[in-house]
Amino acid sequence: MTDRDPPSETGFDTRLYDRFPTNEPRPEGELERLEQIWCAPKGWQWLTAINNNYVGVYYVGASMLFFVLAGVLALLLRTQLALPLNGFLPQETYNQLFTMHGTIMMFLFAVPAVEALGVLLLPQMIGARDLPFPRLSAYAFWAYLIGGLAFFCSIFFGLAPNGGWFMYPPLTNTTFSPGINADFWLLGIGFIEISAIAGAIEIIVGILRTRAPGMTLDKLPIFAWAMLVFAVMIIIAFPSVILATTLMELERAFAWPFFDPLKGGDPMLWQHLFWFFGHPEVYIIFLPAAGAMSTMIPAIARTPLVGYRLVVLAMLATGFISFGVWAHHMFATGMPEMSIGFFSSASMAVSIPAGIQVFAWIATIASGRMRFNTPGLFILGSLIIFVMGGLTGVMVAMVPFDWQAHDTYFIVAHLHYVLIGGMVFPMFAAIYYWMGMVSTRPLSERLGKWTFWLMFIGMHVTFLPMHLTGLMGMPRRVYTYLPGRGWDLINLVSTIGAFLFAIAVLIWVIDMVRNFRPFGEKEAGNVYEGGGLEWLPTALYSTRSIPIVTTRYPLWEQPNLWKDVPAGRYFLPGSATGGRETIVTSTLNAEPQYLQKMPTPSGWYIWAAVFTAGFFLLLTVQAYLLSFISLGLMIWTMMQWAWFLDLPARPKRIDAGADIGAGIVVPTYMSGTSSTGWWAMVITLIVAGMVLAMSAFAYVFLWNRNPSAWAPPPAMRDMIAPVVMNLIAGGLTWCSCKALAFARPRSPMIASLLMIAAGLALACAWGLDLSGWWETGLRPQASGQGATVYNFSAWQGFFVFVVAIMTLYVLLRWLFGRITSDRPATLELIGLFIAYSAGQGLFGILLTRLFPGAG
Amino acid sequence: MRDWRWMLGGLSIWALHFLGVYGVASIADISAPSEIATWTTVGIGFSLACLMALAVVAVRIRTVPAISELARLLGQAGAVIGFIAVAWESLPLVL
Repeated sequence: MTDRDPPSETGFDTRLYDRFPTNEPRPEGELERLEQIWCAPKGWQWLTAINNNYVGVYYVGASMLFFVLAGVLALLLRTQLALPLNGFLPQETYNQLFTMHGTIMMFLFAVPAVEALGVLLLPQMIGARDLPFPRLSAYAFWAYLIGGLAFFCSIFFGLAPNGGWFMYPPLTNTTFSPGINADFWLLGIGFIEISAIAGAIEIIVGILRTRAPGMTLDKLPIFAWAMLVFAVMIIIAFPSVILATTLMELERAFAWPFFDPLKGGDPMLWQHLFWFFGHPEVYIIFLPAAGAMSTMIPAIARTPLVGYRLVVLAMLATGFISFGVWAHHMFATGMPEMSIGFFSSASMAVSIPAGIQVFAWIATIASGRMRFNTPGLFILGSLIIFVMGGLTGVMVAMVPFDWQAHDTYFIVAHLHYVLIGGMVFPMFAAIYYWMGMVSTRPLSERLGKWTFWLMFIGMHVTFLPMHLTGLMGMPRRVYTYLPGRGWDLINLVSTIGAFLFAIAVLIWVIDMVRNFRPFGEKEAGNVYEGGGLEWLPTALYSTRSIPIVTTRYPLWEQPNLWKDVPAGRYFLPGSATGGRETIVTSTLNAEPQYLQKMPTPSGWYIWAAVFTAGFFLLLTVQAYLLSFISLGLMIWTMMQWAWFLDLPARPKRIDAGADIGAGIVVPTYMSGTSSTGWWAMVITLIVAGMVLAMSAFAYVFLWNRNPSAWAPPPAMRDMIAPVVMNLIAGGLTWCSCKALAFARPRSPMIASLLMIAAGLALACAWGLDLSGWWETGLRPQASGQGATVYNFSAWQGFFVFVVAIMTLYVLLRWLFGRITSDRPATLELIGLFIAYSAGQGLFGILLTRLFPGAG
Repeated sequence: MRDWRWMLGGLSIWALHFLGVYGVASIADISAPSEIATWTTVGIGFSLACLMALAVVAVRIRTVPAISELARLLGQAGAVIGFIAVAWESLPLVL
């Protein structure tokens, strides 16, 4: 070891890796026991399956179903536009269809599809048995599927949203959208985003904490890097749209005027909040697809990726800069000149990291021996289309050009080039490429090439002419147009192209029906000769043993891996604890830390998903009683789900640790910062913190629009009590965790009571703050200030509600003897949540009362 | 965390620069016309501070002990990219 080498991250002696591969014969029956533990579902168990091999396939399948459904809507739209003054669709139906097309493609296809690909591929790719919270994956999937299908069905009742996929007010306020159509979008999408966030938490913790030993960040598969950046971006970006939809719903349901300029609101606030999410969304969709491209290209071109580290840097840079360019969607709104200059220059800079990736792909293709099979063709098609979309992107980053092209078909052409080139083509390439991992038969090369060429030609025939229609002045979202403007022929050509594209998708569907055979005994395997761990022989437990990774392409560069891993010569060749488990490793160097026991299937998370969807959907159709019954059932099922976690240790010998291979013993339980639960909670709280930050932005933004109308806050002395109560709440949670750590006989009782007291203090703080504002006479319906101040209260009130459930849960666990000093994780995580809530309450109080002050 | 801090330091300063200059532009928007020059100066000063911080990261990271080669390389390249981007994005202040 040299001076510049990093020390061991955890104290684990990496020389122990030299013990592998082991030479001793494996005990008889070890493999059979492993197969029994990770057995396939039977009958109804197919619904409750949590293994990523099942949930991943379900997830990809559902997202592709939504792709086809949204594609059918696109065909209807193009049929209507094929001829001038066409009467195929009424205006209102057209409005609903284009809104649903955009919404489904963005929210129900693009994001879930790439997330699904992550759930399906990541465990095998990084050498984990499964993702760390498989029930959360299943919950996210079922919530998404049920919510998504119900949302789609609104179209059959004329209740689908009709305000465009970005739902700008005032078009979507109750004056111009009086029905419940807009509410379907607001509640439906807000809820589906929660599912996306759940998936993102799973992916971040999975990639950072469950990699195969030795898989340092420098050896992390490039797809996993992309998924990591993608998931972090979801955590930062999606809270903004959750807040935006909540504010809009509060305005529509209770007349809180966030976006009403007559009462101190501003419709521009919606645009800022929406595009703070909406622009990163493009990269959220693109990055995983780019990661898949960077994984497939080396296999197809038979050479390692050129510039691995630069590609990682480009992904990180894309993640950062994507949050600095949201307002380039708003150049035509009359923003300050200086801001426009910043956003324009930043928008041009986006092309640099994207360019690094494109050049790395071209260099890899050029330095290897490219094969023009189906994934290879989709990869090349993606490169061409994405670069074309990127070039028009630089054009619209120029403000004067954007003013001309804004809201025309030029933008429609640009965004479809970027999204189809950047995501749809890579997705199809990925389906063909990884099919051998999940199906007993690969897809047909012959049909695949038909699919590619028809899709490639259809795509250009549809969207290339749209640049012209846009430059000739045809606006977006018009349901018809007059003849004689020069748009007739171009629109007809676009429609023909759309049907060519549809035929391509139809051929792919036929290919899937003919050849896709999932969940079989033996998969088709490594058809395209990839070099990643996912191509090792696997079963439902992933690989038989978990290898030590020493290179970026283990199958190419660690020659004996393909026989040593299935022979059980590496880590965890059987079950060390008698149940499902995976090795948790450190974040940087992937040093083994502990063995995490994994759950077995049950029905609770499915019911939780059903009732979560039920709550939101029933709320949308204004069935309030049923909605709140569904909420109660959701809480009950979630408590049942959590009830069997973190059980008191028995028998004690298991706690002493488990042998994970070659005599290496690691603990089987961990709390605090090393545990995966702690990571998941912290990421959840970052989501909450982002909602809080965006709420603060909304508050300052509305003040900025009309500072003179801001009423004075409550007297300063009234601030003391809520501040002190929040501090007490935070202090009590700390005392509670310390009390449990003392490990005395009465520690569980004292710790539980202190935690309950912390919850009560938090509720008191919230009540005192709320009553202070109420006594000033300020009401949420009165002004933008009132709406934003009470929005802080409402958000904090939600946390108080959750804390109330958590403290009830603590009480029940204590009464049933499930809080013990040797199992502190549950109490620690609840303490973390309450401490955050206290900090959040404190922040809201200080901001709303001290800024801008008494004036 | 040490590796992550160095690895993402340059890119974080770049992100901080976005927020800072957008904030300055927003405040300038509601200020009196006579104060525009002051806010422009603040923006330039902030940009120069960010450029200096990025230069420090780019130079200092070469000798930081006990971080991985990947963190060192990504951190340095991120600081260089951040430096170029901050300089580019500050141009509207001086044009």
